[in-house]
Amino acid sequence: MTAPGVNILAAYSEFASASTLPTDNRRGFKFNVLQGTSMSCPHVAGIAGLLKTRYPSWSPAAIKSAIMTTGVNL
Amino acid sequence: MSIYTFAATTLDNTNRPIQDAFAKTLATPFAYGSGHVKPDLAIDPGLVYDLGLTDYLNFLCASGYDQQLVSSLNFNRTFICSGTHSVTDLNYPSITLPNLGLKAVTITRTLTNVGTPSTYTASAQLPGYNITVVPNSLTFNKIGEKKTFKVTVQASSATKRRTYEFGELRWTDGKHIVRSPITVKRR
Repeated sequence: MTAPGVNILAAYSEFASASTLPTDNRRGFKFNVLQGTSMSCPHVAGIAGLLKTRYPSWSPAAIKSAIMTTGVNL
Repeated sequence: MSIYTFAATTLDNTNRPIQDAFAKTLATPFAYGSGHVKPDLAIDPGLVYDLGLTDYLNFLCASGYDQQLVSSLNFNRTFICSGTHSVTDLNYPSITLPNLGLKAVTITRTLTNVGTPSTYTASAQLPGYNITVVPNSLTFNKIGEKKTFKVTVQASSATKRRTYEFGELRWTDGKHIVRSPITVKRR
């Protein structure tokens, strides 16, 4: 499975520097634009949550199957 | 890469096949799995490949875990490995056969209906291999109804060796497409 993971406006630690570089003293940002699977994952987790709300009886495997098998537009 | 029909979600936002960001080569299911998420379609999948605790325990049995180990994962209740399960039969929504010889391999999957009554037909493609689905038509009359089918994959002496080939299995009723990626390597 893949999901949006590039140029994502993500929650960010106010104690981390804006660029993560140790020489960068800019702090206190609640959000930052980040990339990676850590940004993709919440998109899929959110969809799993929507499916569980719509179909409370579905097992985790059924929810995963619904997300995985529905790749194709008619 | 061989001739391959790309599903919508294996295309990127410029309608071209998804590429590896760094290698600038075509990405494979090893990178994108079953493709890009489509929440609007996921809410109405038509059919699902379901799994429960017993299926996972049987998979562990087939993977070589002994009865004591499997039982400890069954909330310490004794679980008996029947010895009749195969790792390739885990009811997972993708198919992977990493060490195929020339002998045909048959895997089993079970579909559960989560939509309106409908008849689905199967189509499978896997370049360089013979692939068949039996039965290739399944009719579901009510929600929760389960139907089992078998997929047989066979390499020929002309099939490229020690290289992964990618294909797909689709079940469709004209309203839904239930797609599984297939990954196979001939040893």
